[in-house]
Amino acid sequence: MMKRIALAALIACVLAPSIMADDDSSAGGRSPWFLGLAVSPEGFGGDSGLASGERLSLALVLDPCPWKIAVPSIAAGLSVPLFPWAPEASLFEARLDLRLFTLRPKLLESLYDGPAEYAPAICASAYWPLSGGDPFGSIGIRPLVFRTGDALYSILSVSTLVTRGADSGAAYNFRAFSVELFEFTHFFM
Amino acid sequence: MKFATTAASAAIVALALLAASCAGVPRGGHPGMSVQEASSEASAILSEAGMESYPSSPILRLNMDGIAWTARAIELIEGARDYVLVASFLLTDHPNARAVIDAMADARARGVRVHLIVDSSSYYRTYPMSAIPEPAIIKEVRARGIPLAEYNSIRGMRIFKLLGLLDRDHRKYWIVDGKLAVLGGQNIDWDSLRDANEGGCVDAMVEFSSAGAIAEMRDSFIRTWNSYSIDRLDPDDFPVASAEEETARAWLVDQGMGKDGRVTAMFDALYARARKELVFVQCYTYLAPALTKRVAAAVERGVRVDFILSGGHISERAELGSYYCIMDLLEAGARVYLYESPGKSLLHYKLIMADGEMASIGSANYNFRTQALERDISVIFEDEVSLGIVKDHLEELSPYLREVGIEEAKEYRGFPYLLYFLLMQVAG
Repeated sequence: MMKRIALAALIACVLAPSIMADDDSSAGGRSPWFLGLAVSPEGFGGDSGLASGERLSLALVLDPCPWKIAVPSIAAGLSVPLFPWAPEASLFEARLDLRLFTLRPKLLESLYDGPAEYAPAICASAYWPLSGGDPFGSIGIRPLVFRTGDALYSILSVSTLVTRGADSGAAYNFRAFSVELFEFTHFFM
Repeated sequence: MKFATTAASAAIVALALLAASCAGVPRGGHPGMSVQEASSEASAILSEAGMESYPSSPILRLNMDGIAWTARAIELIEGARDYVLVASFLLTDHPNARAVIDAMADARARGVRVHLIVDSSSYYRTYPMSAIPEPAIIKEVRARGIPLAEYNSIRGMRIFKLLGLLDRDHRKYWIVDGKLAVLGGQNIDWDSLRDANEGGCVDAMVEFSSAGAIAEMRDSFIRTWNSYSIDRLDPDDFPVASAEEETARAWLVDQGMGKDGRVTAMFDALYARARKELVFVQCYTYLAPALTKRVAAAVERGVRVDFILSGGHISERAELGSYYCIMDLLEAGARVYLYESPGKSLLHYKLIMADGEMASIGSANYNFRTQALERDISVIFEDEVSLGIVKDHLEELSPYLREVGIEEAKEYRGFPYLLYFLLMQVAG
């Protein structure tokens, strides 16, 4: 099931530009951006079964909905162990984000020095080790998400990892976590 | 050391880009073409690139220096009843820039909608031949409540855009009440708006009225705005008035977002249109091989090609980089003149005129950066009234033109010239 969802997300990312490319996509007062590239350093801790260290995550982000409430976006990409360098332990990640609401706090606009929106999100991810092995998932919160004209910035997101609980007898285990210092998404299409 | 590292990095990038630019094969024009054939081919080239001509007024007015344009800009803002959309590559401090901003704030106070797009490069300008930064007034304008979008903001947190940050919006255009379009080379900034007799720019802002062109400019403005601001605009809220006297036709060459390659098509169209003479008025020239080939091809089929470049410059790198290419132009068979006015004005005018019968005016420079890394906008006219106005203003430059010979050009081929030429391929 997870593989099908991931595959659907990837296909959507690939096909979206050709389906949605529209020279007049700003008509109706919308942003023309819907596809971006996200870069983030992240790490896993606890009983994740993954080597400790710093990872670099690169993902395509599809963010097509010009809404202010419950804004979904999907991402698909790779998480590669950077320090120490171990590409064989890379993970394919598919993620669904839901930005809950949108605010325009003055403080944020002062800090950013321009128009910016605050849009905290919740997220759910699925990971597949490229070297084989069992897939696992995560659910988390992204408390500090900021949207500017052509970018999304997320700072200090945390997730708890969800693994099959075969050894403990439980259906799922929540014994590990991941921390993402930041994720910068720049839209290019 | 810092300079050397920067220059070396820029040189490597520039070489790669130069190599890529070789793919731009010149097209259009051959010996013995009739005026009709040349005109048809120029139209076809523009059409293939998505640019059809619009019914338009002839050029209504050409504002040639900072003082004249400041006065006219304020007059236009004060006369606006509904909206003013302005794209200005640069927004830096000068009393005349503040006067324009004051007029915008006053207009907003009386209910006129004013929106301003500026490029983030405004933060990185320096005074002429100096390392002292010109203060950008983006924050002040925002503080006065004038809606402003910053194009492709250059900030540390945007570092992962990498080469995407090279994309700059170099356009300067105004739309007033959906009735009047103005475009050209003048920014709302220190260089553009001060007195040409005191080192300011000789430039051109061309005014015309064309419902079709204005609608395209409005859509382009709003697309750009909605790309870089979260305060979205809707084109339907900015009506375009039907123009009354569209006795001429004009091609709008808007190399806006998603419209790459239009400036190159404009170059090709003007080359195709020229049977006898091509005049380029340019601030600088940072040639790439494909651009030089176009000059040589035109000369080979008997077209006289004149380049009028600025003798005054805003930075050493701009001057040396531009002068490096004079030899390439001469070797390609062009004639090169430097504009050296008593007031040491910067000739910032961007004109290409073919046979005195077709001319483009706008923000597009004849260089690789304009072709590949910038948003630019120009307009092409071919009617007698418009060309008459252009030629009259061109005549005003002639007393201050000095032809550059081959011996002088050789002096501009030293290593610093080469280095800055490479740097300016991407940083110009």
